[in-house]
Amino acid sequence: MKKSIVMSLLLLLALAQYIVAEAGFPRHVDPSLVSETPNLSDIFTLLHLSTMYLAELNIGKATNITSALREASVPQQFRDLFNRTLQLYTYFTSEIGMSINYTDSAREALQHNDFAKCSSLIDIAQRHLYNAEVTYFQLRDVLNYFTSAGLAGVIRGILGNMEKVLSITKSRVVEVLEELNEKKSFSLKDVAIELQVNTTKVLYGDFIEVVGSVRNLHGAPLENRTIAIYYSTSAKWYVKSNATGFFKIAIPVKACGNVTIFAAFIPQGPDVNVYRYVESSVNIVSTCIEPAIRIFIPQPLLVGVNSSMCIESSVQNIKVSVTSKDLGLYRQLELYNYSTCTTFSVPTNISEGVYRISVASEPRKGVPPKALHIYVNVTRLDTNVDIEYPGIILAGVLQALCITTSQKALLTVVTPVEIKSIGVPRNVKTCIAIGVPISYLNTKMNLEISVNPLNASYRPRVVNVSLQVLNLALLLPSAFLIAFAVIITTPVHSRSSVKARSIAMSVQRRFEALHRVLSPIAKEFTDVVKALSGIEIEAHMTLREYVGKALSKVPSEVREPLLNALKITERILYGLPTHVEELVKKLKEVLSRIARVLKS
Amino acid sequence: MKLWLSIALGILLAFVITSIIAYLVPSADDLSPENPLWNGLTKLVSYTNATVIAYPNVNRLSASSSTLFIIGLARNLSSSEIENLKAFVENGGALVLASEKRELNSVLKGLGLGVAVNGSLVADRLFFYKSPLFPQARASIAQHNLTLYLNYASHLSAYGKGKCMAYTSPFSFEDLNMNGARDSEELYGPFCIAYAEPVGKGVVYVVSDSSIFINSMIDLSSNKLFATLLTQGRRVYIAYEQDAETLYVAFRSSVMGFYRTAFGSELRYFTAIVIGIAVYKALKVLLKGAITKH
Repeated sequence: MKKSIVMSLLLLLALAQYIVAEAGFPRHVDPSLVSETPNLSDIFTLLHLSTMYLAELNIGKATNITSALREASVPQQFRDLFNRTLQLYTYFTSEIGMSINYTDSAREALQHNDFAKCSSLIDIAQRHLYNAEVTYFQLRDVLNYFTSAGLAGVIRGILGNMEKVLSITKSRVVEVLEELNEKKSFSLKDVAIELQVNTTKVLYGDFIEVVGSVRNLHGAPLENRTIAIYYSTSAKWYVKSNATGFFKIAIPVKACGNVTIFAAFIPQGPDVNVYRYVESSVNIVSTCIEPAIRIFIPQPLLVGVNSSMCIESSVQNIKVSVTSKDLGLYRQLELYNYSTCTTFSVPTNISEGVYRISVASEPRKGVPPKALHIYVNVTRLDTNVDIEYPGIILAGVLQALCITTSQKALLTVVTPVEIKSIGVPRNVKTCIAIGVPISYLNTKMNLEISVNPLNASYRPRVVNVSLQVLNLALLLPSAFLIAFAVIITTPVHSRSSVKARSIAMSVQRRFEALHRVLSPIAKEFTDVVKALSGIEIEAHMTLREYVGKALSKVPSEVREPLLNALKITERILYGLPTHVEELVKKLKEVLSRIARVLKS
Repeated sequence: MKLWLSIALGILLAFVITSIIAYLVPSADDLSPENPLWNGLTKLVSYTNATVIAYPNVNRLSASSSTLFIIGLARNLSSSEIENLKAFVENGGALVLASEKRELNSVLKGLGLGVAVNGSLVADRLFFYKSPLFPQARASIAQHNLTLYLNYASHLSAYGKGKCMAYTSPFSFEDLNMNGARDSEELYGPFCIAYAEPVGKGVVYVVSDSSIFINSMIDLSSNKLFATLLTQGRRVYIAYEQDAETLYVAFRSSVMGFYRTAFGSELRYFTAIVIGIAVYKALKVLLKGAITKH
């Protein structure tokens, strides 16, 4: 049965293949067999074209392209993102268009000198421009998602064009705004401000009465208008004009020398489009005696020690405040006789370093305030510490650690197993017992020895010490075990002992070989010495002893070359095994020179 | 089982299956009104309740109440057949000619129309269905705005007094090398896809894509509505003739011929005897095998 089904299927397959092959329609394709073609780059190229038109302010063409793109076939996975892109871009285009339209209308209104209309229109244009800017940033974020689809270049172009159109639109708006302000300033009316003061000579800190009036050019008083009074300081005082246009205010003079007091009419509300900003001024002279302040503090300041501080001023009867937040210093001093002194102590919790102390004098009539800062160095004294500790700590055995300090102090010793604290008297050797239990397995013990002087003027010290630990309880069994293992394994692994023996023999052979190389040289040298002196070398002699003995019987002209030859031979025999060949060659040369001398 | 029996049963099974296919699928020919496959027109026939006629029978139609579709133009029409078509239109008939092939131009010329099929492939990389070679076209007919999906379409060069009814988008282009992308020498659209020109009392519609109406395309977007609007509520005829005997047709006619011969002629007695012997032999072998196994 199975064979029958297989046969029938084969026949059908052959037939179907033939029919399908013949049934092709060259210019028509079954749409169900066609896969979706990605066309994002074409779509974005078109969007880029639209932005190019937009950058030329051809809103119509840009919008047409955008409308066409709305129905473009976009691959499924990008459809939502593209719709959002198009939505934002359409909004951007529309806002740019609105901004341009309103700017044009504002310009038209400006040509007809309708400033109020122009102003409101340009406001709307600015609002639309702002919306466009916000939309641009939103769109930039959305477009970033497309960069992964290989569209980075075209997206850069799109954003570039959008930035360009934003800039153009902005410049148009700014142009109209500037023109509006310029025209407005030409058409605004002046006001007249009269200004007087009750005196032109004052002392620093005196109040001065400023009186004046504000009127239009026809002399009519301007009621309930705001007048700002100010001089060189940043402070401003505001006063309102009354029904007759007058205003009056008393202001303190806190400036020195020639002071110009201004009264400024500031148009507000409907006045903005009617009156111009106008100001009037009057000069007065303010007399000041500036104090010269000096501060004397000994340096460096010791922590916890009372220090004196003196302040000197060129003006008497002034109050001075001395402050330092970091040092916790706050003093109010009165300088009745040009100077005063006080003491203060640097708190013990202050760390060493440089701190600022500020001195400020309070103003009084005719005397302006004065401030100065000085920097003081706060420090502590050194504590001398002498520590004696054992070189090796035996585990399980307590050993003494002794310390001598130059100050009464609290000694804290931190070991890996405990923390010990004791008081240490001044210049007296004090010992504490330290140790580790047998269970301590490390070979080293780190100690942290802290010496904290009870007098805060002295600097604490911390000494770190590392001690060797010897744990006999572990060492002895280990040694026993190793020895036991050696004894046990030696007879069992006879082959390895044979191997060890063979290695020793090979080393021996190597030395012998080296000796064979070297001995002829030594023999040659001793032969030469023997030939020169007639003395035989003895068994216990070194070469140097032999040459020393023979030297007296050797002709004087060869003594130096012989000593030279001895040095070379010693270097060959006992020196490093480098450059041996070179040395042998050199020795032979020296020996042959000796032989030549002898012959001659 | 014996080998000869396996082969015989296999052939028999294949014959049964192919017979079923031949019965269910009357035609596999392109643009055949009887073809229910993707490239046939059975859906159009069904939607428009159309009657299929041969070209020579056109002159028998009541022109004023009929719409005649000629889709794909299977063969070059003779001058008399063209004359018949012209008479049909002049007497008030509506004629729909749909083809992307230039062969249609002889008919258009014969009918005196100012339009010609360009023959170049139209593609669109922005407005398409699945692939740029399935471009979209926008049509405006009887206050209906339609979006048509084309399938390897060409476009029309219109110069007559008629009116273009459907255009591709301005981003479409002539895809001369059929690569689906626009090359520098390939012209941009929009291209005319459907054209209407009155002739006598009737009207001729020319569509430069025959496959708008095929089964796999007619249900997409507005294609069906487009076909329905072209009928103008008249009685619909589709002129169709088999141009040549394709393999499937030959195969189907062979299968049908076999049945006609075996069961419809005097040979049916012989057929009955052969079937009887075959069934006897087969049963004998099968039963024998079953008894032996048992």
